[in-house]
Amino acid sequence: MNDLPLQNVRVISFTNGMAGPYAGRLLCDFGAEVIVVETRKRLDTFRRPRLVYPKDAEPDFDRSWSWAEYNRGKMSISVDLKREEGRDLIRRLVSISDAAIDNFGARVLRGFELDYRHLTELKPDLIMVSMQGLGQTGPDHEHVLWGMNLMPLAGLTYEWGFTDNPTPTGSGGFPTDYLAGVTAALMLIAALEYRDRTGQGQFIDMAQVENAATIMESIYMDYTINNRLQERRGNSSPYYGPYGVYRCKGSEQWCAIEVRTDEEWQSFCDAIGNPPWTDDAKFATVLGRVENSAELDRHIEEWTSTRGHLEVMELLQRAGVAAGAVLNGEDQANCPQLLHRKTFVQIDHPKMGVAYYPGVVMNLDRSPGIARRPAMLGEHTEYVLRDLLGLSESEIHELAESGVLT
Amino acid sequence: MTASETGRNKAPLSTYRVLEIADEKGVYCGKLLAELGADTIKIEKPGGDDTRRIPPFADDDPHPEKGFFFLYYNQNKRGITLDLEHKEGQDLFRRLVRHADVVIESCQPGHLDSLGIGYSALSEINPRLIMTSITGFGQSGPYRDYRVTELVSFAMGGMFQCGEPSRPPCVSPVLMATQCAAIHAALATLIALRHRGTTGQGQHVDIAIHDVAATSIAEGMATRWFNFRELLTRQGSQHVTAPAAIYPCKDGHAYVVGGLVPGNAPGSWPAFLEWIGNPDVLADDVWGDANFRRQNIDVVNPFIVEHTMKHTKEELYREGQTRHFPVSPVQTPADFVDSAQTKARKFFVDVEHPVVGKQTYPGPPYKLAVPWRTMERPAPLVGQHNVEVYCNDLGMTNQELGVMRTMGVI
Repeated sequence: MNDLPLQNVRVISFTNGMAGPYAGRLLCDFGAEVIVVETRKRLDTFRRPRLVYPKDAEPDFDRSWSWAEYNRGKMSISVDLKREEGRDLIRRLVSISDAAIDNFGARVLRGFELDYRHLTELKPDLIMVSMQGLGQTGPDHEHVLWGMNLMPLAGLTYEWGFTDNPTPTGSGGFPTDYLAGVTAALMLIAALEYRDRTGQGQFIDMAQVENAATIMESIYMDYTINNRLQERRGNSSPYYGPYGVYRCKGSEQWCAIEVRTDEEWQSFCDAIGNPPWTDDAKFATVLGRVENSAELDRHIEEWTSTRGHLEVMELLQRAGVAAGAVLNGEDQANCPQLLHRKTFVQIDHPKMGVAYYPGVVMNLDRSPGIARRPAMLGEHTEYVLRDLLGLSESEIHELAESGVLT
Repeated sequence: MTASETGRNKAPLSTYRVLEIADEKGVYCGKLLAELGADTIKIEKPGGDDTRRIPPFADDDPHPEKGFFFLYYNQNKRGITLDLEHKEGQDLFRRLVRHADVVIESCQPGHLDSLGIGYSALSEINPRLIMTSITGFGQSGPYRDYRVTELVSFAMGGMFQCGEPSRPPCVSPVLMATQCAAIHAALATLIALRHRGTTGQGQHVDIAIHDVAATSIAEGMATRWFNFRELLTRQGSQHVTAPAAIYPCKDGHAYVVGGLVPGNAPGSWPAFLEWIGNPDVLADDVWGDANFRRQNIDVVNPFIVEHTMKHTKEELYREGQTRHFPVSPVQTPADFVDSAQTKARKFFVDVEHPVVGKQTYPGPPYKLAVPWRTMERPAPLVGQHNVEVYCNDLGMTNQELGVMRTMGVI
């Protein structure tokens, strides 16, 4: 633990939900001391015990699974920021820290005078990453936005779905939250490099919608440069064939297949046993396969629908064809590759007991990270006040009595 | 020292040199490091990298300097050509590695080893070297040699939850899993550089898209199975709370969320009912329970649609926000480009390129209090920096360079 690469880095986490917590989770795997500022008076959305572990346990925010998953490895202090004494503690804590992450609504930390402008007066070389949906500037930046609003705003949802369906589908989840989280962590460490060399801190005002648009580069450049608005493509490609998600044997079993070159097409035909239709001249070229994709897909589905999705993947991959079974949670839990890589790990927790968590996925061979357990709400309040801020037992007692540490 | 070099010194990674041997899995990692000031040298095979052929192209002209993917992901990099399959090319690469801090590579596992330029060989030449490998499945394990594309990665890492129950799962329109892993690779590289800062040791960073996707964009579907024996499935745009989904409106769609705030406050269920015109059918108190609404959302939806169809997405956005509901328009890319918010933040930037001219690209997704001055160069032309890198940096003579060119190494 002592020789983890980020061991001397202290990060204060003003976070809620997924994107901000994900940033901190990546950092604490490598030794950063990430301290989440919480209060029982206004729980993190993910602390609300909608799903507790173990499943049949009493509702308890210390057993809330969503919070545990996204915040494992961090410390937690409970401080009421609506109280001046609480804000004072946080100011003192920030002044002995390196960085802060903020994904609260844009008005929240400003209202508490704990935004970058105020905090940097106490700690001039502070690094702060704010990661609101729309950023910290612009006419709409104070809007009430949840994770599910961001992909629609970024133009991503519009492009995601089937051509023949008038309604775009988007994702049921929040993939861009993770992109935002890891980008925030990257920027924070980059700023640390810069501070260590120059002594200067930094404020990084990241807009999550812009971060999502960043990986839509070709869609946006097609619009800004070619003046073309791309439409939804579903699971089809204008460039390759076969390309798609094919029904396999059994309920809800699917396998994605992508063949790019004529050489790969030959391997594909061999792998499925060269049925007569594969000799059809219209499938001999990439262009022919793309133009006749509906017919091609029907032939392929005849083959895939008699086999399980994992079997289809394995048969094709053995022949050198890019194929991936559409894995559900059970498939992932049993995936031989994820098991081999120890991508999920078991961690013990005083209240929840042993559960499976996402492990450390950045594999550094000489300085491997460590996945540690999530904290209980306020578990580290005393450590922070006594050991970091040097408060006496009686001062801590007084703060607790007056309801500041709730 | 030129002005651009001075500028680079004021960026966080300005003291580092990065060599990139990357297809679409590794270019974003290189872009992020280059944007932060690292001198990032992209190594292409003679004639140019295959990623130059990824469509679409400016003016739909399939020219190697006009592909949007290449133009976007290779900004701020220098570009050289080098045939790594050739023995002379491997020797030259080893010379470059002596003066490099980081190698980013996304080849099939074992490929660089077979050329004599894998991590173990290079770390003997330069023990401080960090090699960041980005592959579909990682450097070890039963799927190590599997072929990978974004479609494959996304299928195995989250697609199961994307789309409507009545249709096949639906792939994302972008390189979601691939780019998510590439950002992790850039972060892991910086962490490895910090480790080197205190210990002097280089190391091998092994990033698998499959690992990253399973623990991020797959939305905890594996832990849900491990810990609860529950399977998360696809539900279209419908969120676990309700109402929260995409609804049609006069000119497109809007994401409408209502009733999450308890009581009668703005954002609450009674406030939402008032907004959609207090339909009699939903007057009963039983509809105040979010779980009940979720289970009977088919009863609620027609009343929401009746309301949303009377308005444009922009009207729903503005009115919803005024009433404290997290409502947003489903913007087209054109809407996003033209929105006052995007313009106010100057997200799109103009980039001047010798072949495609001055054009508008998405810029960095952040603003800095004190901007780090970074080099601002467009993507390199094929072999644009050969002379600069081989002669000025490595000290090759023009004659040697000429020989290498004749041999087809450069």
